[in-house]
Formats: sequence, C-alpha cells, structure tokens
Amino acid sequence: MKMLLQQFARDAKELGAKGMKGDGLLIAAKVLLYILLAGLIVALVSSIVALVSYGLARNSALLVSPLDPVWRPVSRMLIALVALDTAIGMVLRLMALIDSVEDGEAFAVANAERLEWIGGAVIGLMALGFFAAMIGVTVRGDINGFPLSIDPAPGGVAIALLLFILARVFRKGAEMRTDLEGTV
Amino acid sequence: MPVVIHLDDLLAARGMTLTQLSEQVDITLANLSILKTGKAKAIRFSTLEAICQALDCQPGELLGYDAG
Repeated sequence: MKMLLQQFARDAKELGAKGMKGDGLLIAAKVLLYILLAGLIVALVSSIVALVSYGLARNSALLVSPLDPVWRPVSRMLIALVALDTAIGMVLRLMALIDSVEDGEAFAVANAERLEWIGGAVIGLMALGFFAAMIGVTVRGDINGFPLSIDPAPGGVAIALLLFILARVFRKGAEMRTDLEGTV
Repeated sequence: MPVVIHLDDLLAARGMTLTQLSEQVDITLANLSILKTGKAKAIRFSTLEAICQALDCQPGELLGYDAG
C-alpha cells in the first residue's frame, strides 16, 4: 500500500511536470489579466459610487437639473454595471483556465464550461451593446487611459462561435483524456 | 466488464509479486494495479507484450472473456 501511494505520488509529480509552469505566454497573459481585472474592479466600484452619488445629487437637487431625464444616466450606469460584472466574470474564468493549463490539466470539462460561459458572455455583452444603442445610450469611458466601452459590434458573433467550438474541443479532449488515463 | 484479467493467477503460478513484475516490465505499479483490478479501459500492445514476455505466457492466458 505504501509503495502504491509512493508510486501514485511519483506519477502525479510526473503529470505535474508535464504542465506548463513558467511558460512565457501564459505568464504574460496572466499579468495582463491581473491588470485588466484591477481596472475592471476599479471601474465597477466607480460605477457603483457614481450611481449612488447621482441619486444623492438628484435628491438634494444641487448638481442635477430637474429638467434632465433621469433614465438616461441611470440606464447608462446600470448597463455599465452589468457589463463590468460580466467582464470580471470573463477575466476570472480566463485566469482559472490559464491556471489549469499551467497545471497540465487543460482538457477538463470545467474548462469547456468556462469557455462556454465566456462565449455566452460575449453574446450577452453584444446584446447589451445593441440594447444601449437602441435606447440611444452610449457607455464609454476609461480607467487611467484604459478604454472601456459597450458597442454594438457584430464581430462578437465570430468570437463567440469560436469560443463555443473551442469548448466542444475541450469537452472532447476531456473525454479522450479520461480514456487515456484508463489505458495501461 | 466481461473481459477479465488473470494477472493474479499468473503471478501466483510464477511466485511473483506485482512489484517484481512492475520492475521487470517497466510499467508503473499504479498502472499494473489498475490492470489487475479490472479498472483499465484499454491495454496497449506494448504493455501486453511486456507482460507476456516477463510471465512467459500468451495474451490468451492473461485475458479472458466472461459473457455471464
């Protein structure tokens, strides 16, 4: 039993070594994602603060003219909140995906689900962009020079499709990996 | 699974342990255990060849089919 455990530990180590820890591309992607995540969190917090302070200003009728339509800035801020929340979800999933690649466990059902979620989010953000354009609201801004905007860009469909297909590839890969693990 | 592995019997007949076999055939003990306990989903020809060589047996002696 002890020998078996030792062997399992050795095998696990071997598998771990097959991971991609220290890969330049993955490290660069992670650094970029961390910066992006920090920017998105700052933007999310600022949006919440903006929404709250707009409400306060409106209540005190100090800064906002009562003639301004309320729905426009409020819907802009709400759209921004939803979009930022989705974007943070995408970044977190991408980070988890990179972690799994580093560990040599890329072909897992969890990764297929992450890619599907990101694909769905791309479609969702696109739909949000169309909705914003439809009600005539532009959501655009920048966090320390990092531009953030929600636009109705149909190019997102191709990216979403690619992500959904990649998710299928990962699902198939996970299946093949399970088979391979049962092969002696 | 209806395909059964007679590794235990072959080892017993030759007075060999799984550890000794794993050293001889250069297959990890973990993988041999998977094979022995019938948890393997597939077996490579190279694995079969190595085991048959070490145990001086035919693949038919190692594998059996139990329809029931």
